[in-house]
Amino acid sequence: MQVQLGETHPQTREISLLTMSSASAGGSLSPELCGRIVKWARGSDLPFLARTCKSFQTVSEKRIYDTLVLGNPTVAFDACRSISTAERLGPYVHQFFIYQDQNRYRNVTLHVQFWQMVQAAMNHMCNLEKFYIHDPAGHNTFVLDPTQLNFQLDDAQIRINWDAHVVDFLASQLSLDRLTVMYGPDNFEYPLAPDALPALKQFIGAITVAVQLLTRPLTHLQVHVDETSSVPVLSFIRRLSATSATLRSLSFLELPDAIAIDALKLISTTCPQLRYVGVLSFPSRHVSSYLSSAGFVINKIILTCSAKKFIVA
Amino acid sequence: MNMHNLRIMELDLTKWDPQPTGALQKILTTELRIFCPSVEFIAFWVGGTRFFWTLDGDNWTYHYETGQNIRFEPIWKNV
Repeated sequence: MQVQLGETHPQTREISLLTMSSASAGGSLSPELCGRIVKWARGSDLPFLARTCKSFQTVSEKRIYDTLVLGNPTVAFDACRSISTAERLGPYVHQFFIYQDQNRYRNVTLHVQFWQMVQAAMNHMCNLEKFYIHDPAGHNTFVLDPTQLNFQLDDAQIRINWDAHVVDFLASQLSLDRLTVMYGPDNFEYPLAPDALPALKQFIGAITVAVQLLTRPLTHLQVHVDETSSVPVLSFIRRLSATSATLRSLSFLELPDAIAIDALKLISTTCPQLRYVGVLSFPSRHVSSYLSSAGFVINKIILTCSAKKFIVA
Repeated sequence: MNMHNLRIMELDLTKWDPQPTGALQKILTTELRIFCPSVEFIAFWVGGTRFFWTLDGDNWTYHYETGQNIRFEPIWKNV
């Protein structure tokens, strides 16, 4: 649950009256009532509520730590230290976003001690479902050492160098549904295990990683095309037939204009069941061949955009 | 066209010269549907602006997003 500031609810007044009544009678509040109060409390009030009594502490902390978005290195370090030292907090975390806010803290250097503390905190997050991790330096991949982690993610977004730690981490994630890899490799020095990520349905990232995932039950695929990649795009599209039974959506980023026509032609034959295809460059001077390439029986289409005319014959 | 299930296409028209106006885009959407009758939604990128053409009955309607108004969640994920 995300903390929403300024939330109000019709039941707030009723709960306030119950609170006052119970407090004036000298009794403690039930966990259920504390839970309802915390549910509708402002996010900024939760740390204060957590200090009032045990009942409020438990439910407030569950909400505070449910989703952690940590872009301030100082706050991130303190939060991770709290989680690593207070064992009750780690299981409360379901979503964890750790990064360096480039607008405010660009000049802060994240030392290895910072990432060690992040790793110690993640070691306690046994219920983690989603994380985003961005190491600006890229090389602190030890933070993903699977022997130090104890969770099975649904969604992982990784912005860190691709190396053995990352590969081992991904091999440990048996129920991962969605994966984003932002610093993809341009070679196969660290290949994925053949049986890694058996449940993966959505992948965003480099073509060199995508090509290793085509036997997974992928439904959505977005590939970053890099002209220097060791995997030619058209060769990759031919290999998409391996996942064509499940694939519904195919998105390319930075697909070179020169191969757009050939790419669409191949896509229409290897993945005819697709519901979405994009983003393809639509070359104005070659519309006829572009449409024909996808299997159309096309009559004469003449587009003369340079003459500021558009004629369909 | 072979792709009988295709509902959405996203195309980049940025390099067209002159860049296509609404009328030209409407002609393109009509042409694309002739050859792929299952298409119901076409997005054209022109620079930093994305034009959404949606089939409403027999007519195409459109709206566009630009700059910070562009939706955070890409349409390819929602298919």
